[in-house]
Amino acid sequence: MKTSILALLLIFTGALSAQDTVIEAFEKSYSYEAEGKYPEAIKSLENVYSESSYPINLRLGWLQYMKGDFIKSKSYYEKAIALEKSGIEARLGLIYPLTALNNEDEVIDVYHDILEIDPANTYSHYRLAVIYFQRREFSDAEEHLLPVLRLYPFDFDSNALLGSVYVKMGKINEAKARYALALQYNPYSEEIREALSNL
Amino acid sequence: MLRLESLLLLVMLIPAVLPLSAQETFREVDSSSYALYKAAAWDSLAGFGSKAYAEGYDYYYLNLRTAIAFYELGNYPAALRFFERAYRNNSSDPVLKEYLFRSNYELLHDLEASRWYRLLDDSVRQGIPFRPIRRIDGLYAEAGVRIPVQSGTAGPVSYGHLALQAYPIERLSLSQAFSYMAQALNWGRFRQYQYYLRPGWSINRSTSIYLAGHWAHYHSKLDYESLGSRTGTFGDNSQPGRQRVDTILTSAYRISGSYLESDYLLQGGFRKIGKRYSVSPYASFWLLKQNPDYTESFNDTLRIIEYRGPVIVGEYMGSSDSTSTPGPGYAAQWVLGVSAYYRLGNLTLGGDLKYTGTNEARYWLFSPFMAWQAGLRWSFSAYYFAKKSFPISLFSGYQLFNTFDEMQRISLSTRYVLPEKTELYLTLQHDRVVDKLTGDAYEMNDLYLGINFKF
Repeated sequence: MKTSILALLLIFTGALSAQDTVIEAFEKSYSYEAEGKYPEAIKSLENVYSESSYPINLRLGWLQYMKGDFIKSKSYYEKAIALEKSGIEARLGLIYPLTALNNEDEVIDVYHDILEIDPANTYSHYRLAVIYFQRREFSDAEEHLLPVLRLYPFDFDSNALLGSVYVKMGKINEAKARYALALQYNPYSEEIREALSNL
Repeated sequence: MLRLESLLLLVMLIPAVLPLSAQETFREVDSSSYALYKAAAWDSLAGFGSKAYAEGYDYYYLNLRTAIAFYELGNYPAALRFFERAYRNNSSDPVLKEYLFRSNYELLHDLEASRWYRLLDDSVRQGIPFRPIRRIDGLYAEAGVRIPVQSGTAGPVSYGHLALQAYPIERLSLSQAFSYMAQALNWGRFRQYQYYLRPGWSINRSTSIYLAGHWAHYHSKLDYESLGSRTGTFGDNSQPGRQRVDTILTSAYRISGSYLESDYLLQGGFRKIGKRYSVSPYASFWLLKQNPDYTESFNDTLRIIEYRGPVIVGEYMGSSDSTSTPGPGYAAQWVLGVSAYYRLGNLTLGGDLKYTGTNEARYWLFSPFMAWQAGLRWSFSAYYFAKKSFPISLFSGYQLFNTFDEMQRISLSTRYVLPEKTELYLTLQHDRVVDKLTGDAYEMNDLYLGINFKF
């Protein structure tokens, strides 16, 4: 009986000790990151690394990105996504290395994955609209700006971008209306004033 | 100077980056591949990029640089693999699309090259002399009138023509055409169907081979009668007592029934295309299967009258009747020829020279043609040919003249390209024909309208 209690106590203490070690590793990683010492921040987490830990994989994804190793960053974010399949946090993180690698089609896929999980995610809608605008796929850009403006009708960036989308689509009256809203939000925007004067 | 710096950098980097180790970081991979790219060290970059990819480095710039290295080395299959990987990473780069077009083009994947070509900007497309294709590429329909100048000898012609151009798989082209023609003449009427099939295979960018087959089914109804008489005089009756002989010959020729003919043409050749020229030698073989179901009858009478002065001193009369019913038969003919053209700016001059042999004789034939591209939308072309009483074909077997009539043709065509994948054709022709059966000569003026739908 005594032996069993001792064993349980040891296991509990061991678990507490391991948890403390992980917290300590995270603490160190934040300190090193604040000093811009990314290899050391990474090392501190690698010492307590566990394949099945979502927070460690997520954090390593970020630190590898900051260090500039986009391939490893991508790999850690992908592991984090596999561990929390319904989360969007790691997916938003994955966007960073994919963007740095210029893997734009994969970025688009990730944004679409996020929108499948959270259809009202306005950030993803807006970023997709920007990409589609740059690709001259204007109807797709419009398709992703309208949900943003349903929730944030007075949003400057979305109105400004939709104005430009409508100009490219030849919908000049609609473009004027969007630019006018953007200008009401920010009457000092020289960019919007110039765009309006060109119509 | 910049080049020298790049090379120095490369010399410093190569020992560090080759071979790629598993411990290599992204930054090292990226900077090394960039340095190799800047130094145009294609061999090293191709090897380095391939190893990096195998190590899990799959990102846009690395794949693009590696692809360009393989492209510059002429290894187009590997280049295409890496360009496609880069495209999966980022499909928005127009330069990448052009490389994908060019790699497919070099590999003779014209269907795939066409897909990429259509994605290029107009300004880029205009600088590339490439005609994009589709699996079902075009449908051409033509119809028109052929009006005889001598209406007593030949009637107008009903004519229709359909052609389909397809590219079922890469390198393989398939041309098909179907024609129908019917005409009434002074000896009866005929109608015929023709079907043409030509598979072609591209060996490389400048050489292709083809094997064309043309089949024709000809059917005529015959109902013709020719009556004639000839007279002749020998001797002199200007003075009494002199001798004179008159000869009177009357003949009747009649043919009635029907005639069926099947023609099989097989023509094989290859085509070599240069920047300004094209040469295409070929050989073809004809087989004609004749199934006559008609009767020919000849009826001649002869009267010879001998005079001495005005007095008939002798008279002879004779007649002959014969009937013939020909049976089925075969005829064969071979042709050796070469088609060639040379391009002088917008003007193309060419011709088709052939040597053909029948059971009776050997002939040389030359048919000249020319084409003129007048701007982006208009083009004009013309050809001429003349033949004796044997069948011939033109344009890789596409045009089949399976008639035994002697014939001369001058043909003028114009093409106008409409903006939406459609081309309009107008053809004017003048034919001079000597009918094999009757010996009558007649002329035809033809006007055809054609429309080609490009898919």
